[in-house]
Amino acid sequence: MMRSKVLVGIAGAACALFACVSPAAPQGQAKASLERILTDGALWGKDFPAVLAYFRGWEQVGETAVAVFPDRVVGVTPYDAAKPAKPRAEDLADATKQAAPTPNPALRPMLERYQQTAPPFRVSVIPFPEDGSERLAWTAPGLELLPPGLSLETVQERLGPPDEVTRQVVQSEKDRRPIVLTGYSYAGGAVVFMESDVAPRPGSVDRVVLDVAAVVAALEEGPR
Amino acid sequence: MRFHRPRIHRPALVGLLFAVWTLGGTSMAYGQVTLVDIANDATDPSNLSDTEPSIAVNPANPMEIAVVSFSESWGPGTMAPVWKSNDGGSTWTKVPQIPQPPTGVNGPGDQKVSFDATGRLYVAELGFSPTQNFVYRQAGAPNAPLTPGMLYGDDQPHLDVDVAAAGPCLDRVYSPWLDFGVGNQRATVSNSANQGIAMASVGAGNNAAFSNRTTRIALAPDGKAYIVYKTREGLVGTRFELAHFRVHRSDDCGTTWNAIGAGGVSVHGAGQVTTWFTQTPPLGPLSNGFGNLAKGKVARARSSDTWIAVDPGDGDVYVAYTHRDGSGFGQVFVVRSTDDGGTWGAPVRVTDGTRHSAFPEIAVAQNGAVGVLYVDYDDSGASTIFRHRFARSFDDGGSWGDQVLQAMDPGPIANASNGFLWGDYEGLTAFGNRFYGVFTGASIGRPTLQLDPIFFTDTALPPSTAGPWSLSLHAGLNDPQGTFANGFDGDWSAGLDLEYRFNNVFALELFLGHDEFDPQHPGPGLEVNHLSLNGKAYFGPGPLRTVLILGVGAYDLHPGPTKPGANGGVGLQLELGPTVAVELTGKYHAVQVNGPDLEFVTLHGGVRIRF
Repeated sequence: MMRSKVLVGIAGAACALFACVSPAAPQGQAKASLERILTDGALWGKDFPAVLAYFRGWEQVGETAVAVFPDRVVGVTPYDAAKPAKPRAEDLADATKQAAPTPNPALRPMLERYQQTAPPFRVSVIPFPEDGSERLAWTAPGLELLPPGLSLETVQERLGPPDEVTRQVVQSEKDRRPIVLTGYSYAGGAVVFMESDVAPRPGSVDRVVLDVAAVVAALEEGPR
Repeated sequence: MRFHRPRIHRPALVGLLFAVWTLGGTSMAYGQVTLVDIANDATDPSNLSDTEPSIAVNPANPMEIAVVSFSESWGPGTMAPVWKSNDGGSTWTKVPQIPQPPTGVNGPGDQKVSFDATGRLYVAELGFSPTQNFVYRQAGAPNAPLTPGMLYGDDQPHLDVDVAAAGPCLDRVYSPWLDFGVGNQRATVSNSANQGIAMASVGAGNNAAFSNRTTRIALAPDGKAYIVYKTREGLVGTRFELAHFRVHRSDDCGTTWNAIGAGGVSVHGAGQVTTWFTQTPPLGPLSNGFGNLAKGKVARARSSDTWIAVDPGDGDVYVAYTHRDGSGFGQVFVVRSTDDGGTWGAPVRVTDGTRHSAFPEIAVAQNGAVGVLYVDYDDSGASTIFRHRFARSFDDGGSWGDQVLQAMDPGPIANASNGFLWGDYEGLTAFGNRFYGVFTGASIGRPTLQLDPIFFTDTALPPSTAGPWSLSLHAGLNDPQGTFANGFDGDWSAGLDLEYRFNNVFALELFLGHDEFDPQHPGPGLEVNHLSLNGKAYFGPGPLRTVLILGVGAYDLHPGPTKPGANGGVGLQLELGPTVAVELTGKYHAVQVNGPDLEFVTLHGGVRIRF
């Protein structure tokens, strides 16, 4: 009797030691189109349509991608200092004065109201402490480009599993801990929801990187 | 002779066995030391990378150990954690107690942990952006939120607190950092006489000709303070640079740092050394990193190439640094000063000249033993294998013995970032005659392989000349259980065992025991002589370890026949030295007799001698 109980105890311990945890199977959702992602109100803040309305400006200044933060949009081109970035900022300001109409019927309804208005943000050159560079940016007090508390769980509930998960280490010349960004790509990489390892809440969306050419194509070409 | 003691019930024993066995699942033997994965799925549900760890042992209670690593961030209403152990490193809890500083910056960016003489916890933190250093102090209960002090400096803070009761600088808080705000970056040390509430920043390094980097601090038992740093004197290729490693001393609690000259003293003489400075992004491509990019992920090695420690006994000062010598590999060297940093002996190579090595940390134990934690890599196979190694010297750094703590291929580890594997901080300290360390390594026993903070401890006593055999003599009390308790009371119990240890965990013992039981009614007592073969498993990093025992044998009853039986139990073993340990063991015995098993428990204390 004693031995059997000891064996039960050991068996229980072995279960605790070697229990397998299986990852949940991905949901069988269809891949989300770029239009569907850009028009999903659960993924964007109330001011995000303005970003799309004036988005072509980024293409005109040669940015290949932009990062949409909760309160600003930042170009991916790093500048060593603010001075060399200034002319490009002026070009961006010129290109952002007026919103062009979009022929894409999927996007047109939410962008129409910006046709006759000035953009709700201004062009700035801002320090980008992650890598010590200067960047072109759209900023304004109170901007809400991402919904507060947007989580990767919500993103995957809306869009399904990502096409690809990548990691990017953003280092500076200093010794500070680098920021590790984990990117969850959708629409063939046109939209990447990024998680930062320095976020206070793991699993929250830190920024969304938009491929400029792909988004402009979506605005110009209509549904694909 | 009668004993009336609380009975030990079998379910409780089985539960204890389970708990001990489960505890063992978070640790593993690897070489001489036992590694403990500080994190687990409950405390690290997001599978964070836990990079750049540092460690401190509470001098008021050395069973209490604190570790910080990048294990969660602070934010509005969210506190970053401190990992804590109250049992010498066997088990760990994650205590959220580092709040966001008042300036609202993100973090932790860089961090270092320490205790003062009375056991109050301190953490130096780098917040960003903008980058700002703070010293957090314990102002309340041990696990209550820490309180941030005055803002100072802006990069790579380190931390130490003077615990020398007889010295002139007791409780002085020191935090070295690198000042990027001057033309040539300068090693700077902030100090505080009031726990970091106010900080005075003092430029310390010699930046007249070259920028400084990698500032580390050590405090002597007489109150002297030392820093080591490098002067960066020109790149060599894409992964190295020329440098001098210089030491400065402060004899006035950090007010000035020129006690051995304003320019400090080069620990390796007048000639330059060639040390690591990998020009990885944004300075260059990843292929310039520490490792072999063609065979896997690589690390950054820019500001983690020197460390300093003081012998708490005689005050000798030790510096570990890296230098690419004639072997063609970056190697780890140690050099010693016996005159408070004024002059330095000949550097001794810790590594063997066959592989690139870097990231040295050094600590000195009370008995003068010196330990160096470092990393090397082996890219001779299909993938690059990084190995955390721990070297010890028992002759003042003259010669070194070495062991691999853990070999790791970061390739399959999803949260191991190419270009930044463990970072600039890893932890090594000493208290009494033990070393305590933490490094960012491969998780142990977790379903998802990942980077975790891995704790280890090792003795600072010289290796035993004893072999795997040991003999233990122990004695104590017994107590009948079950129906056996209806007729007999417990009496004395004794045992002798011969143990053979296969490795750091598993052993076999031949156990000879004698137990006497007193009749509850007039009549003869019962004597039991038993001989059993037991398997044993030791858990925990030591010096206090848990042991699980299980075995079968023959039980000779007087009066009565000889019957088969089994025994199982748990014990605690405290190592007093390389050949001596004391033990406390509780066992349950069951003997197969006609009818219900004859069952009894024993509780023994004893001494084990290894030979």
